[in-house]
Amino acid sequence: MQNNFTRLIKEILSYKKNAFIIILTVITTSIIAMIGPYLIGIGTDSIIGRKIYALIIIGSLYLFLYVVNYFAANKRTKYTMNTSQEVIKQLRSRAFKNLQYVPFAFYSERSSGRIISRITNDAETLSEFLTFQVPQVAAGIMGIIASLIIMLYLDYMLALYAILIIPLLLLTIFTMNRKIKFNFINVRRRIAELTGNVGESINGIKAIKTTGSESRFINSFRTVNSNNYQANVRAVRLTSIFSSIVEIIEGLGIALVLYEGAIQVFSGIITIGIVVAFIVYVQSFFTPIVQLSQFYNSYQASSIAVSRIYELIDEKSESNKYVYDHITFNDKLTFSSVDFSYSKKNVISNLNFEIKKGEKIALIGKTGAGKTTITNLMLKLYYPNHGHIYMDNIDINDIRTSSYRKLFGVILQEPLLFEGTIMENIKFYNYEITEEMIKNKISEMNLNEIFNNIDLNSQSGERGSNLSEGQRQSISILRAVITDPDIIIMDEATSQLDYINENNIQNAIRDLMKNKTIIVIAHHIRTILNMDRIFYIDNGKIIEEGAPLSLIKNGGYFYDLYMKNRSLL
Amino acid sequence: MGRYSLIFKNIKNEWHLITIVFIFSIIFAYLSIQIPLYIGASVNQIANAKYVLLLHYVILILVISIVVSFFGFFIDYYSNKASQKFVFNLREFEYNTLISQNYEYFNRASTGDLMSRFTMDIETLRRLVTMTISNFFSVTFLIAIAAIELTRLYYGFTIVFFIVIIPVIYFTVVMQRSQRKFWRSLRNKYGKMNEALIQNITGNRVIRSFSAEDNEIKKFNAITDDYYEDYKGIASVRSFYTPLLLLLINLAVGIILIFGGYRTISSTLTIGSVVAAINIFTIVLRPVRFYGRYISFYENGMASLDRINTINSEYQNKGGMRKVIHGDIEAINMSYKINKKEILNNINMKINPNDRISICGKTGSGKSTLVNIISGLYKNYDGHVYVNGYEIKDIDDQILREEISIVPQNPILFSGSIKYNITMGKDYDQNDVETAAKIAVIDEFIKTLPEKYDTIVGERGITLSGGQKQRIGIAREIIRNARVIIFDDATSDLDADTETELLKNLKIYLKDKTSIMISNKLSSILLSDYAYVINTNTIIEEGRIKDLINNDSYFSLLYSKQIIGDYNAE
Repeated sequence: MQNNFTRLIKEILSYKKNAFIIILTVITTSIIAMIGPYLIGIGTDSIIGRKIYALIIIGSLYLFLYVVNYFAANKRTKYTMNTSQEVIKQLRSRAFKNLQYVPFAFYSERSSGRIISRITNDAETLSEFLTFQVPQVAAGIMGIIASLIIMLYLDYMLALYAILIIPLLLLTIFTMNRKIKFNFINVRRRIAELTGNVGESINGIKAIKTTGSESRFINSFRTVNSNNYQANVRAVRLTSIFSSIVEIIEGLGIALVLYEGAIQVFSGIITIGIVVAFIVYVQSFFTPIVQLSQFYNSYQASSIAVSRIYELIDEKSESNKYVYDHITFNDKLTFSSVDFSYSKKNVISNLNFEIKKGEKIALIGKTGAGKTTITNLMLKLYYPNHGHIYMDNIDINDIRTSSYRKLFGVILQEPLLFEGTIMENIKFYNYEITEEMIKNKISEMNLNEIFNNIDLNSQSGERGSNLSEGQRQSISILRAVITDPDIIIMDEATSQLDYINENNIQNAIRDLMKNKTIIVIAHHIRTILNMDRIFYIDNGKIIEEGAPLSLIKNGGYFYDLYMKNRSLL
Repeated sequence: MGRYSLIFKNIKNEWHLITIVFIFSIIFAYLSIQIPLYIGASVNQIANAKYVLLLHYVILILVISIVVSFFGFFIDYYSNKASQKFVFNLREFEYNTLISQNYEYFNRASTGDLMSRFTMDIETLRRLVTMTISNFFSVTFLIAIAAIELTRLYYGFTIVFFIVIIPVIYFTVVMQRSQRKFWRSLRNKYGKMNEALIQNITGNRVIRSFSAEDNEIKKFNAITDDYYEDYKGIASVRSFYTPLLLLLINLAVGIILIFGGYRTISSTLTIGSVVAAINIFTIVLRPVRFYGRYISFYENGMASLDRINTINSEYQNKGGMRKVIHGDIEAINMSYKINKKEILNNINMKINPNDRISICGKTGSGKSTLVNIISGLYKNYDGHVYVNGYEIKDIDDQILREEISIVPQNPILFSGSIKYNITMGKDYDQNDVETAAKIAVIDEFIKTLPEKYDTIVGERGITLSGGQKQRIGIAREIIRNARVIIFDDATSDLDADTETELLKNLKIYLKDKTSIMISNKLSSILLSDYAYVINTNTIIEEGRIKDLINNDSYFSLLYSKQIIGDYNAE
């Protein structure tokens, strides 16, 4: 954790010019904070001494110093904020960039919410800390140090009296800090509970309404609402007590300085002006020290945040040392003794098969049998632990990943639309594709009926919810086929589509893909019967393989399946 | 006044606390200003070498500090307590309003919007209320008393005081306003960043398959750049105004020092008065900035109040007739529009008690909308829908909900036990729960779980498959034993064996009930005797399923010509 902060500081300091300006301006403002009260003190003395010219000079100097302070503080604020934000921006971008190249399996082992919150929440916590808290506390502490130096220099006895209150203040802070922190954690937990409760109620409103459970939900909300109220009142009571005690200590500090100062004035050691200056110093101690106590809590929170972000940045990304920059698919795709496992689970073991160009393959089997894993291996999303995958006898690991994947078109079971227009969703960053080409493809694939009342330039909506399931699926299909890929991988939708739409889409794909290679994770018996070959997958192995009709004749696993579903044909 | 009535209504029981805070604020302000005066008096005593009175003043400073902090505590505590109570009342009121809204309301409003009203808007309003009670009074009194005391010292101080106060307040307001637009825009961009991340990570397979990583990086960098730009804006606002306010305060101190000093040397003013005046300035000018912030918070708070008020103004749930429901439903020339777009047109149907009917049609043809209307969830239809001879929108919601239940395709599970998710918190016998689960073919699965019916589901519990969720959703409705039960594609994720068993159980369960089935599965449709077929917003066919299936009907096109084998086992 410590290391991560050192690393962060190094990164901040690497903005040399900014770092220099920040340090210079922090020193300047601290020195002015140190001299200001002193000037008031000697100003007071010159009033008492009836030295009018000295008073005017000191007064003007005071005004001048604070004009200088304005410019220094202006630069200080600007540079600290901009530098912190520049660092945060870089951290976010680097983490995001690395996420694009970490092994795909990284995502199966983690919840996406946690990953996202590192880039959003954690970076924001750090941003808050660097942008507002660090500069404020640093300037405050530098000011105190500078004041202490001059106080000790002016009159060390009086300085010791003034400092007497600091241990008292620290004691108060340390005895109450834990409890205050605990209260705030509690408040945060309660408000999270409350928000969660409201969120669940809104999301589940249909269930609440159709089961007539409103009054029960109102009661359960009252409980969390009341817990939240109590936690807040408890927290505020303690912070109110805390600030009251701090106020008493401040009064005590002033009283001490006045009393001891008076004794010293009477003994002729110091002038009244020094006493006045000391009162101002004492008053200026409090805010930074109280801030410092809160600083420690946010330091802890943000050091956790820093390590989490660096973890994303440092996560090992895939290296792609390729021999072939670019290949074409001419003959066959081969799996040779492929083993693959993740999270200690053996998913695929000793898998061997060959798919000829132009062949249409159905992968069938239960959920969890390994069908999707096979297609992920094909796409180089996963890498075999043992064995090899060849395309035209070239190990796919030797091919540049980005160009290799362009040979494929992938259609997922649940269509995923991205923020942006429908057109952008179909083009998917491929800027050579024109609206013309998309329209041609739509009529070529007989999807006119589905697309006839949607505007390609309209937004796909909040997660594409303006569109029907059939339209969404069609968009994701167009996205996959618009570039004319050699191999189509398709995870067949099970229940989301009605049959007329589904049939249209199926026919369209079949017609269009006559000379393409198709690998489909098939659920419907009719789709399966239309394929050239079936791979029946169970437990990561092919337990039956062959043309549909011959498998039916053979009377194996597929035969059973066929018989069970035949009546529905 | 109408605008504020929401505030007054929810704070009305806290007037005693507010009154105490008000009175204490006067005492607090008065005593706070006495401290600088006694510091000044002490300085005078030192200057005149009067030891006895000095000790007297020093002790007074200490005592006043203690008393001030005592009042400060009660002001702080009571005002927060009152405003927390206000928020408690407001949240409860809003939650009750929201939860009792018509179901159609939730289709119009987005979840994010409603959530931000509940969290951010209410919090903004709370801060405004807290600030008003705790700071607004005390700062106002502080300024007033400071002005009086300064005048008593020397009227010139009061003039300087007001010359400084006005620009300080003004610049604080300007600063808050110019920052606000950046903060608002940042909040939007933060949302966008979040959205971009969600899409990138949940869609990672697609992005990699399409080799779109570099484009995604470019897009994300554009977002962070944009974010940075707003912060730069904030930096320039803050770096201009924050030091400026400090400068103004210190200019005032410098001027007091010079002119107060001059006055002391040339006239009757004491040195203690100058010291006291400088001290009063430093004490009061900080809270003065509060006024600027307050104006800005007031604007924000009012915007929040208006947004919260929209929840209430759209509230239209009024109680209705309490009539027995027999299980008959009739629609006559019924049409339904969403945003002027026709969803259903001229629907006519008659369902008798204990009928088992199906509603068929393509995805997006309006089937779900139709069942939402005939179950009384959607009320803004044209034409007529009758149950038991009464217009459905005139019947009390509670009655409708008790007697008409809908099983959705994607039931939402709440965080809690499986039992809680079936009973929805109502007191049912364990036997009833298990019976319902047995009918829904989920009992056996539940009993394989370590905690059985007490197993926690949802974010902190176990994850269930789509089919398992659907069956819990079915059990949830079955246990309620309503007269009418509607299955809105509720069997889509079930495998063939489970479906068969479920349908067998339903056949018995539905004997004395009216049932309406929507499904893409012919097997589920066959549970009914009669079907209505919807296409292009209206009913194009109806009849006994036996007849439809053998005809050259749209129905037979929908089902029999299609691929229906679906075996994907769980």
